[in-house]
Amino acid sequence: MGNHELTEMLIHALENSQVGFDSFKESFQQCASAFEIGNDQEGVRVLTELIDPLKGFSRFCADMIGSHVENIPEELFNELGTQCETFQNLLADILEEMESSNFVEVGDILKYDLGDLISSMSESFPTIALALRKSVPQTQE
Amino acid sequence: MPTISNQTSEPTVFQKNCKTVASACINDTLDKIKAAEDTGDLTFQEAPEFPLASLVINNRLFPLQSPPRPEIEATNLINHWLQGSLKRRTITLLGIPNLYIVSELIDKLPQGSTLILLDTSAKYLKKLFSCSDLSILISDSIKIHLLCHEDPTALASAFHNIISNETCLSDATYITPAQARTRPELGDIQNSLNAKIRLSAMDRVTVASFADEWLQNCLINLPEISQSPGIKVLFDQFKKKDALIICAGPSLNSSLEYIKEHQKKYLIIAVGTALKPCLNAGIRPHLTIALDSDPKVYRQFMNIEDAPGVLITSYTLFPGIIQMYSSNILPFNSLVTKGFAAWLNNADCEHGFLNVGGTVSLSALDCALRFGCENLFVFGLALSFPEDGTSHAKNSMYQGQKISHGLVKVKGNRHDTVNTTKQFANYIEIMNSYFRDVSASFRGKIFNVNSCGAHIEKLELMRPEEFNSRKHNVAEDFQQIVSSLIKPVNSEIDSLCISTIESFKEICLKSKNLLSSVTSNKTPPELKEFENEIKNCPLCSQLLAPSLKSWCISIENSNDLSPQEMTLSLLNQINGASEWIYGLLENSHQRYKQQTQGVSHG
Repeated sequence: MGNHELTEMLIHALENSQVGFDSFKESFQQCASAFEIGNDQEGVRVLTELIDPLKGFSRFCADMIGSHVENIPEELFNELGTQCETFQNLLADILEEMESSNFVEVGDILKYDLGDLISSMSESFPTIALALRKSVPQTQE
Repeated sequence: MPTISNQTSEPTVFQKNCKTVASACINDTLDKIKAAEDTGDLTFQEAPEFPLASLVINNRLFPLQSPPRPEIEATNLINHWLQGSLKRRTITLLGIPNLYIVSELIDKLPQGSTLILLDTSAKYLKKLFSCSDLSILISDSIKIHLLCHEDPTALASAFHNIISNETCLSDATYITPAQARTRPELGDIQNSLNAKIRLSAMDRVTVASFADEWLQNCLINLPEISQSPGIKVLFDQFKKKDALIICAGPSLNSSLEYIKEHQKKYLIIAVGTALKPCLNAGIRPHLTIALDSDPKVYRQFMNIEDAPGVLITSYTLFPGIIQMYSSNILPFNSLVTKGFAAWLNNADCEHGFLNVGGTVSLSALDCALRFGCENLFVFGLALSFPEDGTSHAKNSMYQGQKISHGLVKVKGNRHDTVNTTKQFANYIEIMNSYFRDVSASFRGKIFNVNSCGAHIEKLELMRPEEFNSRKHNVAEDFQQIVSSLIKPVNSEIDSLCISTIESFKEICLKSKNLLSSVTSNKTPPELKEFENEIKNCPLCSQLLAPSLKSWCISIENSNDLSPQEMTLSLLNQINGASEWIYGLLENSHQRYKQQTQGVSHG
């Protein structure tokens, strides 16, 4: 697969990322609410289902930074880098607090820290998509 | 000479809180908090509204509320617990008080609600007192109790006393998820507190369901009751004497011969069901105790030609039995007859109080303790069934009865577990609670003379053979001692009956007139006046209460009654109850006059 095609796929993913972000936010809320009222079994269940998608998203962000550093404007790139680093740190925090069964913290990280981060990333991604689209040369039939 | 400064130092947060919440503290809670050691396990962090609490476990901080938005968490948790319903109620919170939750509850709960805060850790409460302003715990609209005891059993017992006196029963015990996770020991305590709530609920439903029947028996028994001095004449009269309490469980069978041999050396109190087994074995109890209003209890005494001794009786006992014993009775007041006892007090008629709870055996034991007996030997307190399901001692009214289904397992005296019914399991819990309460103040020993049976706390186990071979006291004429203490009394029952009958006739008439004036959902003004009249008439309200309780139970499930229908229903109940009460009183007053005609106790 050529670079052009990969970039098109990335742009498509970024432009349609809102569905994924909404799904994350809903799951974060569901998990945090379960822990809040003491329904730990439900909270752990939702969180367990979330871990792989969250790790996958983290890898996606890392790949994006690594492969398209030249095509993303510097300011956006730096912002994306910070967001991805924060995301990875929060994910590590969740796993650590989960091991200690410190579910109050897990719920707070999901609901507030990760929730806010996801919201700002959901605003960044379409902007990055636009920047990438401008950088891709248009072929003419 | 240096001058001495007259400035007094500002009280600390801890001192201010001790003063502020002193009135909310139950028993010696405040003393425990003051005496507790400081702890680093609980930390507080400053926050805009209330400090944020965290527990330190293995060097990690576990927040006890959500640090970013604790007030939102409190709201969500309360909504989840209470399911949106905010009627007047009693709420119990277990664990270190989360002030965000407490504050929100105080804000939302209607006037007259109660908040009970419980914890086993005085050191945590001391830290809370030192770091947080607890002035929110003082509210004009909500009553707050704060209770701390390191012993979970004592905590549950004190809690039971609190909820027994609350108008609204606590629906459940709540604990925040954060504390449930970090203090897993609170889970068991929560279960035992919920068990106390269920017991209390059982008591209340029993009282409300039987209130009418009990009042009827109280009024029918009035002539005999009012002429007796009551159980109180025996209180503290048997110091340094030992007593045998004879209950009717199947384990009694193996003890009868020993009781017979030594019966003159002990004061003997038998429960009603054990009377026939005793008489059949040649044992003559000095006192027999019976409480039940159910007519089937008469079978305990049927065909006994010469019932020995004196009958200790609740006011509510089936009248046929009281009339059988005639003047040979010692009545008592209990928790379920408070209203009737208050009414009797208007005539200077007061008999003494006994505890009741589940099984009559508890009241028999309570008698012996109040009599001042030194050591108690309890026979036949099985509260369980042998493998063949036999439920009672031989020759009792339950001869031949077997229980084989609906059984549960409980801890046994001589076996790991024994079979019993759920009802008996509740009685065991009631007994355990009772003995926990009395064991601290009782100087003697209570022996459970049993070769089997369910385990009851605080009782020393003894085999029947061991009782037989122990050193016994010398023989005494206990019957003569009891008889000499029973002297006839004067009271103002005659005038009390007359005034009460007149008052009820008036209420009956007024309620009948009001029935025709309730024609819409709008409350007529005369109704409020009528309500106040009843409330302000002690003679009426004391006797009317049982009928009103019965009415409350009956309309509890009637969700589709309009306000008008409900008002009419209540007026009909008051009208009917008044007529019924003054009818019963007229009959009893007549019998009283016949019995006392020409008799002077002056």
